[in-house]
Amino acid sequence: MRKVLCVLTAALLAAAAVLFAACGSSRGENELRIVYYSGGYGESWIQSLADKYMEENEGVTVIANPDTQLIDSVGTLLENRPEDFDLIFCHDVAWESYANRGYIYRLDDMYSSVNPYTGEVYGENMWSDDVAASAQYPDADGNMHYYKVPWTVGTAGIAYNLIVMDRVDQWLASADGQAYLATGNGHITTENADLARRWNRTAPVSYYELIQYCYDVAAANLPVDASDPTSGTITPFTWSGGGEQWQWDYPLFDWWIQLAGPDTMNTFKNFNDVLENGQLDWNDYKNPDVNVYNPNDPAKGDNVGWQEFKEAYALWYNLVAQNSAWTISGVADLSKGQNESAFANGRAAMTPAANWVAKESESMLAASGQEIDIMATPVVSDVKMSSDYTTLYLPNSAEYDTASVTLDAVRYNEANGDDAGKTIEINGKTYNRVSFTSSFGDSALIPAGAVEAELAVDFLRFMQREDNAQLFTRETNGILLPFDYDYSASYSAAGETASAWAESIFEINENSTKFNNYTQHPMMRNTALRGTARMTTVWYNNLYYYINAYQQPGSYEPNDLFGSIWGDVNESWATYRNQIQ
Amino acid sequence: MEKSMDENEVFGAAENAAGLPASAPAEGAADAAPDGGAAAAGPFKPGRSNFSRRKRGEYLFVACMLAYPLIQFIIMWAFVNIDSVIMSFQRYDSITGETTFSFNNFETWVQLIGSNEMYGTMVVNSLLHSVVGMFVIFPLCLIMTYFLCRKVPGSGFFRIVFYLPSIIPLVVLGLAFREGLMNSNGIVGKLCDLFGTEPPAFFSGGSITRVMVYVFCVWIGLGGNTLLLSGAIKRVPTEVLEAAHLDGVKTWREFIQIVIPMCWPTIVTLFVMSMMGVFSVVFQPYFMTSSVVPETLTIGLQIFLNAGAPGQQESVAALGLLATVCVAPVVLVVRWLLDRFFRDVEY
Repeated sequence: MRKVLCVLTAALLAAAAVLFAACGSSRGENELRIVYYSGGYGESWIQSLADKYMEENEGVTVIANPDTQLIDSVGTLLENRPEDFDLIFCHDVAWESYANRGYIYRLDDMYSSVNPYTGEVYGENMWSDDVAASAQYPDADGNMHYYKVPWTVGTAGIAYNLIVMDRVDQWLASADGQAYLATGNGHITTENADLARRWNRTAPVSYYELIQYCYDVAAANLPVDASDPTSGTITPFTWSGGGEQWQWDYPLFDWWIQLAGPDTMNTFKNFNDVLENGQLDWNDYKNPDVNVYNPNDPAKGDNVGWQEFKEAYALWYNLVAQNSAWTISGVADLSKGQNESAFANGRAAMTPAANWVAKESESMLAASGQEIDIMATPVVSDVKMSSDYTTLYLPNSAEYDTASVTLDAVRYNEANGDDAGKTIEINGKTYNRVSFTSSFGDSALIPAGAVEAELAVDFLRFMQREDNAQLFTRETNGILLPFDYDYSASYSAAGETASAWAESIFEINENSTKFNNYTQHPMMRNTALRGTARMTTVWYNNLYYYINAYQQPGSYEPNDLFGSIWGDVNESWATYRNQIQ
Repeated sequence: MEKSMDENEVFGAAENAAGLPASAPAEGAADAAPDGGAAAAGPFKPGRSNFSRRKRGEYLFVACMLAYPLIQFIIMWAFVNIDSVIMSFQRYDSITGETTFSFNNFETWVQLIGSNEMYGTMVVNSLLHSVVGMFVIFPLCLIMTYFLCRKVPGSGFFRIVFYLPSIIPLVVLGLAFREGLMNSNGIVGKLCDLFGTEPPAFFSGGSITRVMVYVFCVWIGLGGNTLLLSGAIKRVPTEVLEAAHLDGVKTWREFIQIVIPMCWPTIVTLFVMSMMGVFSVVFQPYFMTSSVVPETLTIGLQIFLNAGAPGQQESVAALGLLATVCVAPVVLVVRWLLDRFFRDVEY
C-alpha cells in the first residue's frame, strides 16, 4: 500500500511538472499574440485593428489579451517570459532599463525601411522628431537604437461639462442671473456689466475668463439634479484629492510653459544637459545643473530656473487653494474613479483631465446623459498678483493697475522660430499656444525573445497606415497615434461625426506647440531624486502638494513651498550626483 | 513484474514505522538462509534485502513529500536572499546595463536618510510601526487573549471577530477600513452629516493619515497572535490558578504575576517578532492612501515600489540590507535581555 501511495505521489508531481511546463508553449503557426493595458483607451481599438489585420493577412491569427495589471507584470514578461507575447502595449514602462539589458527587440530596421503599408519610411512618418527620438536609447558605445513605438500622443487640459454650462447660461438669463451680472463678480474682465453675456458652450480662453466661469458657477448655486433641490450643489471643480491630485499638473505644466517658453521643459527635464535640438546631451549627463530647481531664477529666454513653475503653482493656488468653496466637498478622499463619477454625473463643472477621460467615463456619461468637452488650458494674459503671489487681483479691482507681479504668457515671436499659426489672440496680444503631451510613457514593445517578432513588426507597420491610425482614433474617442496622419478626418473618413470631445482634441493638437516631460536623463531615471515615481516627475521627489495646499493654504504659499523645496534639493544634490558618476 | 507485498511484509513494515520491534519470526523461519538471503516463500522471514526494500520505499516517499517545500525554500528564501545581498553591492550603469561592485548604494542611503526629509521620515515611520507593534498591538493582544481564555461572556464570538482580520486579505480589509471612514459614504461621514459638521480628511496625507494607518494596523494586528497566546495561556495548570484564587489573588494580579511569567517564552518570541514591524508594514499605508505620501512611507513600501524597476533594484536591496544590519543586533539584544526576566518554568 505504501509503495502504491509513493508511486501515485511521484506520478502526480511529475504530471504537475509537465502540465506547468506545457503552459503557454502551444501556439499555432503565424499566431500573433498581443497583450495590452486595459484602461482608459478601452478594448475595441485593438479588436478592430486585429480583425482588420487578419482580413488583410490570410493565414495570420491575432490574439489580443487585455490586462489591467500589466504595469506591474510587464517587467516579468520581458525578462522571464518573452515567448508569451509578441507585442506589448503598456504605459509607465521603464523600457530603457530593459533595452540596454537586451530584453527588447530592436526596431532599427523598421524605422529605417519603407513601410509597405504607407509607401514611406517608417521613421519619417512619425508625429515629430521629438516623438521619434523618444523611442531611441543608446547602447554601450553611444549608438542610438530604436526600441519602441510610442503608443499615443496625449492631450491634456481641463474637462468641462456642457450640460452644466447650459444650465449656467439659463441661470444668467434669469432674474437672479441678471442681477448677478450687474455686480463686480459678474463682469470681472470688463469695466461695465454685460447682461447679455453667456458662455454658449465656448470654453474660457484666458485665466481671468476661467475665474469668471468659476464665479458664475458658484453664484448660480445650481442643484445637481434640477428636480431635487437636496441633491447637492454643482461646484466649479472636482478632482481626486485622494490619490490622483497629480492631474492638476496638466494645466499647471501648460501655465509653466506658457510663462517660460516651450524650450524650458527640455532644459529642465534634461538638467540643462541639452543639445540645440532639445535632446539630451549624452556626453554631458554627469554634470546636471541644480539651478533647474531654483525658484528665484526665471527660465525665460536662454536662462535656467524654476521661477515660472512657481508662478504656475501660484496661478493654481489662487484659483483652487484660495477658493475652497469652488471645489466639491470631500475632495480629499475622492479616488480617481469617484472623481470621474462625480464629474460624469454633473456634480461639478470642470475637472483637470487628459484625453482618456471621455472614453473611460463612457458608460457613466451615457447613463447620466451628461455631455463633456475638453478645453485648452486658458492662457495667462496679464494676470496680476501681490508680491508674495498669495493675492490675485481681478481686472476690475482697484489694485489691478498697481500690482507688483504681472504674469504674462510668452508672446509669439516669429524671429524666435515660434510655430507660426499656433497662436491665440487675447486682448489684442498674440500668444504662443502650448499643450502638454500626456501619456508620453505609453509604449508598444516587442520582447527580444518574441516568437513572432517579425509579425509584430508588421502589425506596427500596419497601424501606421492612415485608415488604421484613424480607426484607432475613432475607437478611442479622439486619442491620437504618434504618426503623421490626418487625425482630424478620422470620423469623416468613415462617414461618422466626431464628438465635441474628439473635435477639441484635434483642435488643440493642430494649433498648439506640443511639449512633454519625458526624459532619459540618468539623474532622473537612476537616482533617488525621483522619489517614488515610476518613471519621471517634475515635482522633486515626486511629492505633490495640491491637497495639502487646498486644506491648509497658509502653510503652502508659493514662496514658502518652493523655498523649502529648493533647500531640500540643495541638501541632497551631491548625493544624487554621486549616484550617476 | 515486482511481487506485491504479502500480508506479513506489510505488518512488518508497519511495525517498523511505529518503532516497534519486529514480530518474532513465524514458525519455520529458523530455516532462513544463514547469509540472510531472500526468505523462502511462506511465513515472513526477516532478511537484509526485505529490510532495505522497505526502507528504500519509505525514504523515497519522504523524499518526494519533502522535495517540493525544500525546493521552494531554496528558491524563494535562500536564493532570493543571497541574490539580494549580492545585488546590494552592485552598481547599475544605465547606459551599458552592466553592474559593477560598489559600496555606493549604502553611501547613498546613509546620506539620504540623514539629509532628505522624505527618506528620513521613511525610517522614522518604520521605527514607529515597530514601536506600535511592540507596545500597543502586542500588549492589547495579550490582554485580550487572556480575557478570552477566561471564558468571559461572548468569548467564542469575540475570538472569531478578533481573528478574522488575520485571515481576510489585506486589500479587502484596507478597502473596508478606508471606505468606512471616507467622508462621503462612510460611517463617520454619515455621523458628521447628522451633526452638520465636516468630517476630517483621513487619508489625504498629514499627521491624521499617519495615525489612521496606525489605527488600521492595530485593528488587523489584534488577532494575529491570538492562537499562539491562547495556546500558551491554556497550558498554565489549572491547579496553579485555583490555588491562586483560593489565596485571594485578583484578576490583574493573576495576569501579571502568574500567567505572564508562566507564558514567558511564548511572549518573548512573539514580542521579538512584533519588532519586525520595521520591515513588515508595506501595503497598509499604500492601501490607505491610494498613493504614496511621505507621512506614511515605510522602508518596506519603498522597497516594494522600486524592486520592480531595473536600475533601482540594487539600490533598494542595499536599503534592505542596511536596515537588517541595523535592526538585527537590536533584536538579538532585546531577546537576550527578555530571556533574563523570568526563568523558564517546566510544567
